[in-house]
Amino acid sequence: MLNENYAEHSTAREIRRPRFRQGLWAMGFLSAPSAVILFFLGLPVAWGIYISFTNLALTGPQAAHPSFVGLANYVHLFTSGLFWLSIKASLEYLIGSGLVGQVGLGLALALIIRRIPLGFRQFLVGLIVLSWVIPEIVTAFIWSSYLQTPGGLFDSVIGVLGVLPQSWLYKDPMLFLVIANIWRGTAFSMLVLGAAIESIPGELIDAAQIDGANRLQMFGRVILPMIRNSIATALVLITLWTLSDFTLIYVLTSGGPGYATDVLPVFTYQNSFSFYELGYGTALSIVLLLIASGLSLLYLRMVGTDY
Amino acid sequence: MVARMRRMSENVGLSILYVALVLFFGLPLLWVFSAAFSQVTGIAWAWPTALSLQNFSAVITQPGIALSFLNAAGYSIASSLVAVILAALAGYPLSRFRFRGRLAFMLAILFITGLPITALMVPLFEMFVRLNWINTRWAVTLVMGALATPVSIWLLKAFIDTVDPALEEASWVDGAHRLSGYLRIVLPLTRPGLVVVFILNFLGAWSNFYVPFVLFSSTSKFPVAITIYDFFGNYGQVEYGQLAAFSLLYSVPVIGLYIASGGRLGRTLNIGGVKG
Repeated sequence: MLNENYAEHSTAREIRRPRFRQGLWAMGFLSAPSAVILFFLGLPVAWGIYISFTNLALTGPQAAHPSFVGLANYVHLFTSGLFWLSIKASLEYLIGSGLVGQVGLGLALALIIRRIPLGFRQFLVGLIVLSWVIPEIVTAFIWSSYLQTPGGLFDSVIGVLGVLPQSWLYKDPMLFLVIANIWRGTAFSMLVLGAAIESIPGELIDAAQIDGANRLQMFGRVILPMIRNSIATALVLITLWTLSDFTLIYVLTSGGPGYATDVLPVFTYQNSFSFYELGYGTALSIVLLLIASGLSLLYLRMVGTDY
Repeated sequence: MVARMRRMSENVGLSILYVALVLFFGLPLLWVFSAAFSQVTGIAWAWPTALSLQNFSAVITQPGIALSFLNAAGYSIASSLVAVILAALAGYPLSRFRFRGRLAFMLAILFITGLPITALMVPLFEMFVRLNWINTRWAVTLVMGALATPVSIWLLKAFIDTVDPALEEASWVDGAHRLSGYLRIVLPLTRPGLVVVFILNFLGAWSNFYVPFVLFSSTSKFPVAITIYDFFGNYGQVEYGQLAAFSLLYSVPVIGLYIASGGRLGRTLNIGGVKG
């Protein structure tokens, strides 16, 4: 009896010991990466949460001696009309360019791209991916010049259709930001969804064809269910990226005219660095971070725990 | 007959669609290429009558621009090295060891990859002011490296997974230390992965605008992303040709790597969702 107990105990220890040693090794290897991530990513978040409860300013007496103001920044934020205008602009930009534009057009392209003759397909995919890989600031310049009035290429092109030259970014600022961002980001969902469609077993398509499925049925009953997870993942990632986009909007419109395109990252930047209200700007950052955290958790659940 | 007519009208419809797609994606790119190589200066777009490199030479000879390319190369190489080294360290135990907290660590890393840099910059700026690190090259480089580390860990762990553990275990039987198995067997076999992750980080750092925009203040330390932004603000409205030439020079590493990878770059990029 005693012996048996002892035996059991020792087996358990033998199993546990390598685990324990592996844990030590793992800690050794993970210490430097963890320290850097905690210091440069974790600390700013913790610091930011603290700052968001103060009236810290970029200059003046409140820069050196900020005082604790409790929830004042958050109250200010949620009762400020400008904040809600900014949320509205962010949602318009997100839905227009991210969800409808990039995912919708990306899915459409992924569906038709295989039917395009090879040489032409490579040319078109090359153009789309090139639009995606060039630095975002270059994209902003390209669109700024392309839409320039007078003299921009866009005016010359749609002049053929009889449309008069306009200051497009002034007249329809959000619409043209959305168009520019669709131009920039469609490649991602096209590539991801294209790969997902390619991985559908051929027999499935053949079987549906033999059963006499038309194109709409093929899409709705075969392709769509098979690539549902890829679409969901693309939606979440693109939502994250679109909500946090700064450069394209900042260069093209700086949030204007008025507050028409003042999306959350641009609004945050202006409050922090143009109006010098770091405490308020940080509270805005924390709000953006909370929204992104929720989305990121959603992303985690989708990618799964198979690691 | 009806079927043929239907097919014909479908083909016409598709052709119109293809032309529209090529115009939508191609025209803005046509602008930047034609404006850069054009001799015509000024704001109005016109077909280039003769190829000319004068815009490029005008940009290169501007004071400070060559320096900004050196700066950008320095920050991008150094920060990518930081991220690759840290990721190579973290990726190994995550791939090989079974220890408590492993899954939690992996999930935390994946969670962080989803968080936007834009939301982090104001607190990071404030922290940098406190530490007196604003406008210091090494600190900004470290930030860029740290920001790239979580995605790099995720990618490199997957690469190390593909290296057969039997190879390093054989070296332990021969009496080699676990550490030397890692250095002599695992890392050399992971080299393709290290290269891919380095290149992706390099491109990300090279294109990064917001981080240096907030954390640098003196012209001599600006990477290209900021110099080109200043150039746009000062001359861009009038010197479109030069702005286009500058944009192309700045995009050369990205376009070059894209072409060199035979179009696979796009596919690799979306494994980790690095862009954005």
